[in-house]
Amino acid sequence: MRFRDTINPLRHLKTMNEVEDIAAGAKPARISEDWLAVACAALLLAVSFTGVLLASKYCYWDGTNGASIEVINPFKPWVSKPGKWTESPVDSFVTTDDAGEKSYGLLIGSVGVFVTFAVLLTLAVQIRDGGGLAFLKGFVLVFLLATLAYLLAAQSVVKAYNLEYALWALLVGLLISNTIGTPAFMKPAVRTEFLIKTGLVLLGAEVLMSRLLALGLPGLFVAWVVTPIVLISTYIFGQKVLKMESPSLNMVISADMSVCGVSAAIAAAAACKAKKEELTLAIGMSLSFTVVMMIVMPAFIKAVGMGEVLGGAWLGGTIDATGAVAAAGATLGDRALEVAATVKMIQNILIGVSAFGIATYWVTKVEADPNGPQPDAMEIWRRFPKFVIGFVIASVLFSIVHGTLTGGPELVDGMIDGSTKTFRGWFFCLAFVCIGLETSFRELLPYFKGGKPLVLYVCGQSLNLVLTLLMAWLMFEVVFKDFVN
Amino acid sequence: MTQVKSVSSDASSWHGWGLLLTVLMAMSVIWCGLLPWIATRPHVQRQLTFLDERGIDPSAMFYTELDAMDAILERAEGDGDHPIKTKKPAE
Repeated sequence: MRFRDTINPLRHLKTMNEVEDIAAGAKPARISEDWLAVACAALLLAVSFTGVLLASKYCYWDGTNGASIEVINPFKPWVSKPGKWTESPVDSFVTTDDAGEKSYGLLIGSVGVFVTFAVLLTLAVQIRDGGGLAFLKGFVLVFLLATLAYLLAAQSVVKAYNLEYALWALLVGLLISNTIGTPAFMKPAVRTEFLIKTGLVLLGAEVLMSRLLALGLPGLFVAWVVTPIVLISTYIFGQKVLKMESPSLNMVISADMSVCGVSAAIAAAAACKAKKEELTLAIGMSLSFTVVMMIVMPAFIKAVGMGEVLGGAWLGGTIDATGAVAAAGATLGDRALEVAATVKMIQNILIGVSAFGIATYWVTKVEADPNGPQPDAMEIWRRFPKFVIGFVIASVLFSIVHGTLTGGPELVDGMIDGSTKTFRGWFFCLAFVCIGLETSFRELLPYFKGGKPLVLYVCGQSLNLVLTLLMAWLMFEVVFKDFVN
Repeated sequence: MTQVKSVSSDASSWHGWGLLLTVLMAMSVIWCGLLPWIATRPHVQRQLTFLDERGIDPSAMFYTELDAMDAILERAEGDGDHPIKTKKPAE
């Protein structure tokens, strides 16, 4: 699978999966992969939200706090992933409470996700190209590999150093493909693009615009003014100064570094149709720098005596990964944790806008023939990655529900916490296993040639560090100092 | 030629399986032996407890995966005594 093929003349007509399927003599697809991903995610969101809406007990007026709601997600016991463990991997599935009572909830939840995905995705593939049964045969092993990746990531020391499941899923897939080779029966289940797009539409429901002002104007300036400036400057630097051979690699690294790490890299890669190797490289670099930054930055902030609020805002705007931001912020203090995590959350919300902007820029500028006429509206629509529309609709819809409905925040949070964020995590984990299964180490080597990606990341992150510190100081220490105090 | 290819393919297959099993064994030793041992070191244990108490998962990919965000959002979206509220207080 490739998100992009620069030399294929059919690239504007079909995704590479579709081209490969047709070349292999498979039945032509009845529905595009993008729309199928939107449909699968929409079904999961609709069922989850309806379940929460019907099962929750509400609303009563208690006279002081207004309407209240007891949110119940009926799917929560059936949807989970391997939990954190320290001494034995068995603890990831079987937990023991203080009274010595064993609980198999995490095992049941993981099996529940497998059954849900097996049914939903097999049906989806069957509807698309009639390959449902072949998909199911391979999916069992792909899911087991994803479970292994989650298990590796769930060890408490591994978790503490921000080594996310995406990394382990890639390595597990790479291990199979580069030793014994990906077995033929697994290949029909290797559908990276479809899995990533479905996960991204589910992620859209977590991008709640109504939380943009959680930190007021200072937070908005730090996260939404500096971030786009850094993203665009880094991309231009990569194209004009470093003369990066691949604009999509440049864009994925720029988005990953400036927005919020792995999740932004996934969205950017899908929006600009980057190659799987480019996404792998960007994520690898981001995670490596994050581990260093989450240790060095708090130490530097303490050493120079920077205030907790300014330090927290600086951490939140610069460290790529959300969890690492919180860990680094917490070492400075509770106030720094609060500011850092909130700034990062506001940056998280930028994913929707950046994915839409990148997709629009790509179809109108990068993919356009420089010698031909400007593509008209129909052409832009035809080329536009439709899953981005599903992503934006999910974000807008749930932002409206969250911001306007009585009990909206509780219902949306109940849906996300109880089921959809776990589904989204599994989709991404499965997608990264698939990327690993399709990638040879040899294919990755040319991307390190000349060290341009590394130079791009270091230069972009340096600009990010300077601009974010400047804006955070201006907002939290000068303009809004009295309000913050 | 066919025989040579077959022998070479078998050797390559055995080599692949050997490599896979070696890596899996190394991973088992690291994850089931080394990492649990590291987790028992006092300074690591302190760090893990520190993170647990605050509901922080450093490997969280998105803010919705952070338990610590619940309390932060409750204060930001809920009552008015948010410590970093930027709304101008009433005169």
